[in-house]
Amino acid sequence: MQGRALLDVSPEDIIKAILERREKTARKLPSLIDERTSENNRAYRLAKESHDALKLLLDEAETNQSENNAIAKAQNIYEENEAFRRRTVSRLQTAKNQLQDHEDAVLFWSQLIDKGWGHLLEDAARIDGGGLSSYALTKNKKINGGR
Amino acid sequence: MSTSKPSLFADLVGLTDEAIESMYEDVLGKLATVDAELVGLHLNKKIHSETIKFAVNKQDTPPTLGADYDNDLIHLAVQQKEQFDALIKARDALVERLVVPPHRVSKTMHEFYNKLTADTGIGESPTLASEIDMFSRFFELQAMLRTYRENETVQSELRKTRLELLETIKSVNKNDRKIIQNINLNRERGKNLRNEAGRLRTYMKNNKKTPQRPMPPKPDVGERLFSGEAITMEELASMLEHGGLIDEKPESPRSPSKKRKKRKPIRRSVPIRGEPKQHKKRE
Repeated sequence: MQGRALLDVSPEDIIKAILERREKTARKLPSLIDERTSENNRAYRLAKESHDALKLLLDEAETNQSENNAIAKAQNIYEENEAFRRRTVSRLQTAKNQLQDHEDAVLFWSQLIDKGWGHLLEDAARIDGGGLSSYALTKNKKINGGR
Repeated sequence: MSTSKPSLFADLVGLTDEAIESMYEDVLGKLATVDAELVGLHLNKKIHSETIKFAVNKQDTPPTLGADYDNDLIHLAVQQKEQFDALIKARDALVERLVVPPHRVSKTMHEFYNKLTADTGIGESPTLASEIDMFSRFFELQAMLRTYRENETVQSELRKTRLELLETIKSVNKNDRKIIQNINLNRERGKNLRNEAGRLRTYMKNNKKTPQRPMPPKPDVGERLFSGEAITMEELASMLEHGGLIDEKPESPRSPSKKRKKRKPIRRSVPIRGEPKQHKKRE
């Protein structure tokens, strides 16, 4: 879309487009969250198993060279599994946050399309009234040392 | 074998005193006309130079044109420059108000529109906070672009006026060069006429016939007079006859070519009585 056509775009058009996009994405999110949850469960189980195995080896009283090697190996496996678990927790949380953000956004834009968007168009209204742009205001503020 | 030089006054031998006197008067009349033309040309040259300087922003104020000055080209140049300045002022005010140039406004609007509406992957979707910011900025940019479109006439007028002014100044410059040529021509003519008047005057003097009117003063007489140098009685008489005593107003009484002795400050020889002389103490 080029300059001329962009001049004809109304706030309603944009809000509708945002809602459409949001809803389309929101449809994909539940399956993504399921996927991330099962991944996280698997990672949790692996981490728990490797942690138990390590604990068992450490609880044994006597240690020799071959047992030391086994402990080191178990330690490495546990650390790998724990790192994987943390990663999956983070990914699951991101997906959940996205879902929450989508829900908030859909709610926000849906309310806006009904109640009006005046407060978001203050800068545009100031320019239409012959005032300074927000870029000019920021520039002046910088020149005047933040005052 | 000796070659005799032709006499400087050969053509005057045999003419009556009245005829020579009339020739002399005729030459003086022509000289006055040439000098008057020269003054006019100098004034015109000054106006042309000031107009060019004003047009290229080397001078803030336009030249002072008298009510009877009728050079249309100069009037046009001044008018076009004033119009150009007004348009520049309008454009600068707009730029100062909006700051972002139109091409960047258009580009950023396009980017925001795509980010807000295009279907992207789940991870690349903007957050609600950035959506709100982009939404607000998109419509601000839209208002800016609309304002630029409304002021498109200012831009096109500015380009047009600039080109017109350039063309006019080219013509003014051309005329200026012509005036310089005319000044040189008139100077040459004035020099020849002065020589001729001098020749006639010398001839009449040699024949014991002093002309009624003295010779017009040389251009440097005025300068010499105002710099404080002595002038002869003849030069004074000539200035009284042809003018130059009252009208002469040299721009700077001390011309750089004249070397003047710097006067030493007069030393007070009288002893200062009363208060004792105070010396500065070194700290």
